[in-house]
Parts: sequence; structure tokens; C-alpha cells
Amino acid sequence: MRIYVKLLIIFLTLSITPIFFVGYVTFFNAKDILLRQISSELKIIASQQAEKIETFFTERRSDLIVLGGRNAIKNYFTALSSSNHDLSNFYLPEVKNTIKEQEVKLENVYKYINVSLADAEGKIVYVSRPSYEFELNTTLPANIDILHKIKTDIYIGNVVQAGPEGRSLALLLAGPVYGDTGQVIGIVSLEIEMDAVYKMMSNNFELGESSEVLLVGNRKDNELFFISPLKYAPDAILKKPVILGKRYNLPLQKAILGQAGFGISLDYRGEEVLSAWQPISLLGWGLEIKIDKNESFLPIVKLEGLLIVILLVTVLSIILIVVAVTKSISDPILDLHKGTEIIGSGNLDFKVGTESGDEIGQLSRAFDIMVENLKKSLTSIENCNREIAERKKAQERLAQALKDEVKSREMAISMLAANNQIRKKLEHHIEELNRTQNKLIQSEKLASLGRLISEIAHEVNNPLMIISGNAQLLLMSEPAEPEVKNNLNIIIEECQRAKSIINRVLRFAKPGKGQTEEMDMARSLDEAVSLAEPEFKLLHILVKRSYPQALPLVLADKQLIHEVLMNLLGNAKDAMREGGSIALTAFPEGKFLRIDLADTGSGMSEEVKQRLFEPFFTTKKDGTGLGLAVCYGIIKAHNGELKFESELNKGTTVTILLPLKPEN
Amino acid sequence: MKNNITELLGIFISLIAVVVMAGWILGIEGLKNILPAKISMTFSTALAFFLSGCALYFMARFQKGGKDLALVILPVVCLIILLLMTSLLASTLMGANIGIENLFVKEPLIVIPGDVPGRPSVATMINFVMMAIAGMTTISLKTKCDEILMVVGIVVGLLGFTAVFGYVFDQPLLYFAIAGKSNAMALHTAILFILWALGAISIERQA
Repeated sequence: MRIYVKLLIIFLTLSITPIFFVGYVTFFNAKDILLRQISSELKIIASQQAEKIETFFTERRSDLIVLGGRNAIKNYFTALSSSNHDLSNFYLPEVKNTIKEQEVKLENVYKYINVSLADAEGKIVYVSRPSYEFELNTTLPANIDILHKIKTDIYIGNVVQAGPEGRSLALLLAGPVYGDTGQVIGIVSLEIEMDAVYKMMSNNFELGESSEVLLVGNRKDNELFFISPLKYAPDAILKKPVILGKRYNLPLQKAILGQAGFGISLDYRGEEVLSAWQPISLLGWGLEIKIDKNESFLPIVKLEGLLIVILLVTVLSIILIVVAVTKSISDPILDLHKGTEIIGSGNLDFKVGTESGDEIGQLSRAFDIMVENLKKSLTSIENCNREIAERKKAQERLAQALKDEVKSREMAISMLAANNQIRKKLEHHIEELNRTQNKLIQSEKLASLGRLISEIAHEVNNPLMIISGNAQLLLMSEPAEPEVKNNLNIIIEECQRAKSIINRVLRFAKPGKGQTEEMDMARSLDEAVSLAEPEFKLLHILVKRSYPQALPLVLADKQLIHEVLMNLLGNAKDAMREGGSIALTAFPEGKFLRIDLADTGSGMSEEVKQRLFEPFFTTKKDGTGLGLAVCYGIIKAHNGELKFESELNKGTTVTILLPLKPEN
Repeated sequence: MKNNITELLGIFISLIAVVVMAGWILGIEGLKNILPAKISMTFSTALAFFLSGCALYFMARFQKGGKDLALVILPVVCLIILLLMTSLLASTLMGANIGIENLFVKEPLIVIPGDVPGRPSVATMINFVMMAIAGMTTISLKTKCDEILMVVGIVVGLLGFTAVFGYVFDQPLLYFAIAGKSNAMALHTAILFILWALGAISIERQA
């Protein structure tokens, strides 16, 4: 919500609300004072009026009593009651005179309609003005229980229409005439015109045009009737009822019930009136004096109008002043806001400051100072930025130069690295070439050696056969000397041994597959192990077999493979003279069957490993140095591989790879 | 959460007050009394409750952050309540009328003097004065408003409870019906005071 609107609402409310409140209270109290004043006057008047009427009728009662006690009337009624008509007739003129005297006296005060005399039964025997309500020889109104009430008190009847053609309103007062013995001998009655009463109620007090005095009486159950003329309903007299319990004419209802008071209520027209009410207990009537509320508050109404005008003017003035004040507060703030927007858009030369001495003026001037400082700061920042940009450019150039340098160096390094790589490759290739060359040389050497050995073997085989043959012939001749026999046996054995060596040498020289057949390697391994087992046990060598019994078949010479296995097991045994273990595993590996023999023996040095398959190279005291060379040859002849892995003092693992039978 | 409950209580109190005021304006008895023949809530009390309900709503809203509207509405409604009730209280103590007591009171016969059917009970007027002060302190004494709201809430609530007990145990003195001195507090007036007190005590001040 804008500050202008907030201030407007608060100022307006805080200024106007108390004004209206005070104005209303003041007006109300003025009205209340006026109300009380008028009510007090009305109360006094009502009380006076009621007292007047009551006094009037009290005097009429007295008149009646006096009249009823006059001798002429008493004598008349005494004669009448004793049916002495002559006597009654005698007294009648005197009666007339008496009544006439009374009438003259009373007519000076008020207006009688009629004086009438009735006998004890109610039959009218005399009327002073005939052709009025009561006629001679008629009875007093039958609906009036006169006779009963007269015996005890003065009877006051209801107001009725009376006189010629009923043009007047009157009421009947009747009283007893007592005889000498105290019994009622007659009735004297006065018909009193209500005009006399109305004259007393006339406005000799100045309250206002709408002021009115009302009388109600003639009560019958819950109904009362107006017994005085109504200003605003002249024909309503004796016709318009006032119902007890209804919301109209409440003062008259209260008055008839014996209560006096004053207040605001609704009259017979339904208009709000200010009234005072008073009961007239003697007659059983109620009296109300009233004035229209609007008329009674007329002075206040004028004041009300004046107050409203003043309030409106005040409110308008307040609104204008408040608008001006709030604008004087909010406009500088708005200007400040606009200024900040302009400055925020980049125009730092704009000034928002004002000359005003209040806080907003101070704020705006302080804001300008802040903007000035900001401008200076921005300028220096711009300069710095420029410098930074230039340095940055220089830096970039330097960086680029460095980059180029680095790039060229990297190229050099990469070239070096490439050179190194090439050099390494070259070295590797050279090494391979050397190895290959060594292998070739080795192979050539072996091949040459093989050829040489083969020739020597063949050359040596022949004489050996001859020596052996001749020795066998001599043995067959059963020499007598046991020593000769022994020597011949030795010669034969050594020849066999030499032949075995030659055969082995020949096998080394001309390795071959031998007779290839389907071979169950698991079985061959089992057989080889069982043959070597006794010696293993002696040396506390544990054999661990980890191969399935159903190994894939290989095509090989059983004898030759067996020889290889025995040779390898023998070498393992020789490496574990003080105990150890051999682990045998076999499993297919691609197109080969792989057999591993891993021992925990003394292992081999690098030097030994290099010369492992070299013929006649041995580390044993009594070895020929051909075993591994022969094994190598055999495996190679089977298109397999024989590999060694060994670590000094840790053990050796021999791996044999033999091609699987093709359908495997 | 607590402030939301306070807002709802404020709205509820204002709505009930509007219903009672409608009863007075339209002359429907059933809207003025909880039960027939029981004491009705006066028009001025209903008006004050409407304003107090608004004040309670905006007191909670002020704490929730809706300061803009609260800063405008709270002073206005609290001022009106204060003006109205202090005037009525003064008129009661001095025996005068200010005219608002009988606003919309349509008696068939208004007897003068002394009969002021539209004047609230003294306890009602005191409560409203305290409630108006509490409303103003919400925006003016932010650091102390917790304590003030607590104290005002307790006092208003206690007076309400006392009146309710008066009705329960049929003790007119407890619902402040003192002949010649104070009109009685209506039952629904007492209940609304209790609800307002609960709302005021529940307000949570947020930093």
C-alpha cells in the first residue's frame, strides 16, 4: 500500500472519527436536555390538568350530596315514597325552585344539561330540561347499575352522547337521597356536559401546534375509548378504541392502569410523540398531554442541520489538509524514488536533493552525496578496469608467447618421447633379434651338435654292439671263473648303459614324436607319480594332485611323455632333498592341455635359467646335462611348449603345453 | 500456525457481531439473544466486537508480516473502540447518556429518565478498553507487546469466564448484573470475550 494512501486513511480516520463522535454526543445530549425539559413541562401540565378535572368532579359530587340533602327534595321524595301524590305535588314547586337555584349557581361555573329526580326504583319523576337524555316516567338507563351503586356512593357514569340529536357529550352523576331512617328514598342525578371538562383542558399553555390533551375512559374489559375530541381525528370520540396491550397509546394505557409518567411513544396516528400521562382515579379515566417529537425537537433539528453543515465543512477541510500534508510527505519520497530509478539507469549526474529542512530533505541531500561518491568510485574503478584490461592484453600476449614456447617445447618433448619410444622399440626389436639370433644360433648349434652326436652315436653304437655281443657269447659259454662271469656281466651292463646314453643322445639329436596315439594325461600323471612316490615319501615330499580324472585327450607318444614327466619329477625331487611339496595341475587351456608341476625346492638362478635347455649343461654332480634338452626336444616335437618359472630358494614351476586332440 | 488460528478467531468474532447487529437493525430477536428471555448483546457491544474481531485479525496478520494493512486498520479500529467504550464507561459513572446506548433499540415506550437498555455492562466496557489498548501496543510497543497481550488476554478471559460461571450457577452478580450500577453481561458476550482472549494469548511474535 502506498504511503500516501496509508497516511490519508489514518489521518482522516483519526481526525474525523473523534469529531463525529463528539458531535454526535453533543447533539444527543442537547437533545436529551431539551427532551427532559419538555417532558418536565408536560408532566407538570398533565398533573395540573388531571387535578383540575378531579377537583371539578369532586365538587360535583359535593353538589349532588348537598342537593340530595335539601329538605324540599327530601320531603318530596318522602311524600312520593308514601304514595302521597298530593303531598308530593305540593312539594314539587319547592323542589323546582331548589333545583333552579342550584342550576343558576352551577351554570355560572359550568354547564349542566339536566337535573333529574328518580324514585328509589329508578323511575324518573322530574327532569329540569325535558327532551334531553332522560324523559319523565322513563327509567334511568337500564345498562347502568345505578341503584346498586347509589346505595353506597355517588355514581359517575360513562361519557355518552346526549342532548338533542345526541350532539352533546355528557356524563351522569347520580346520588342517593336518604330518608329520615337512612334508607334510600330517591335519586338525584346531574347530567354534566363534557364541554365543561374540555374547557378546562383547553390549551392555556403554549407547547406547540401539535400539542394535545387526550382523555380516555368508558373502560370495558381491555377496551378504552377516547372521551375527548381528537385534533387529528375529530370523529373518533367514543368510537376509536384504545386496546390495552397494543403498542399505540401506551401512555393512555398506563394512565388508565393508575400509572403516571412521561416519555416518548406512538400516539393514535402512529406518530412519535413526547407525552406525560396521569390517571384520574376518581373517574377511572386516563389523561395524556402530548406533543409531536418532531415539533418538540425543532430547535434541535435546526441545530442538527447546523452541526451537519459545520461537520461537513470541517471534514472537507480536514480532507484537503490531510491530502496536502500526506502529499507533502509522499511526494518527496516519490521524487526520491524516481531519482533513484534515473540514477539506477546510469545517469549519475541527476540530483534529487531538495531545500526542505525535514528528514526527507536531509535524506535526499545525503543521497546526492552518496551518488557523488559513487560516481567518483565508479570513475576510479573505470580507470582501474582500463589499466587492468591493458595489463590483461599484455598478459595475454605474454601468455600466448609462453604458450607457443611451451608448445614448441612440448613438441620437442613429444619428439623426444617419440624418439625414446622409437628407441625403446628399436631396443626391444634388437633384443628380440638378439634372442632370435641366439635361438637361431642355439638351434644351429644344436642342429650341428645333433648331427655330430648322431654321427658319433652311430659310430660308437657299432663297436658297442660288437663288444656287447662278444661278451654275451662268452657268457653263453659259461666261463668257469666267477670273476670272469662277473666281469662279463659288468661289460654287458655298461654296454647297455652306454647304448641307453647313446639312444638318449640320439633322441636329443633327432627328436621325434615317436608313435602318437590318444593319451589320457591324467592316467599318465598318476602313473608317473606312483613310480616316483616311494622316493618322495623317503624325502618327505608331499604330492598334491589337482586335476580331474577326465582330462581332454592329447595325441602323443606315451613313452616319450612319460619320460618327460619322470625327468621333471626327478628334477623336482633333486631340488627338495630336505622335503617339500609338488603341486600337479592339469586343465585345458585353449587348444592345449596345460600341465603344471610346481615345487617348493631351491629354485634356479637367472644364469641357470638362461642355460636350462642347453645340452650337457647340468647343476648336478653326476648329471649328463641332456635331460631337459631331451624333454624340450620331445615336447617341441609334439608341437607343444615347455616353460620354466623359477625363483631362487622359492621353487620352480614347469609348464607343459600339449596340443589337444583336434575333435577336443 | 498459532497466528492462523488467531486470524480465524478474529473473523469468527466479527461475523457473530455482524449477525447480532443485523438482529438489532432488522428487529429480529433471535439474533440478539442466545436463548429467548436471556439477556441480549447490546448494539454497541456488537459493534465493539466487530471492531475487536478485526483488530485481532490484524494483530495476528501484523506478526505474520502483513504490516502494511495492519498499520492502517489497527489504529483506526482501536481508536473507535476506545472512543466508544470510554465514553460509555464515563457516561455510566457520571449517570449521563451519550446516545449510542439506545441506537437501534426500538422500545415501544421509552420512559425517561434512567432506562438505558442499550448500555453494556461495566465489565464489558472495561474489557473493550483493554482490548483496544492491546491492539495499539501491537504496533507501537513491539518489544513489550507479548507481555501486554498475555496480561490483557488473561484479564479479558477471566472476566468472560466469571460471567459464564454466573450463568451456569445462576448468580447474577457474577455476570455483573448490579441494579442501578451495571447492566448484565450477555452469555454470548462472555463467550466472545473468552475466544478473543484465547486469540490474543496465542499470537506468536515473529522476528
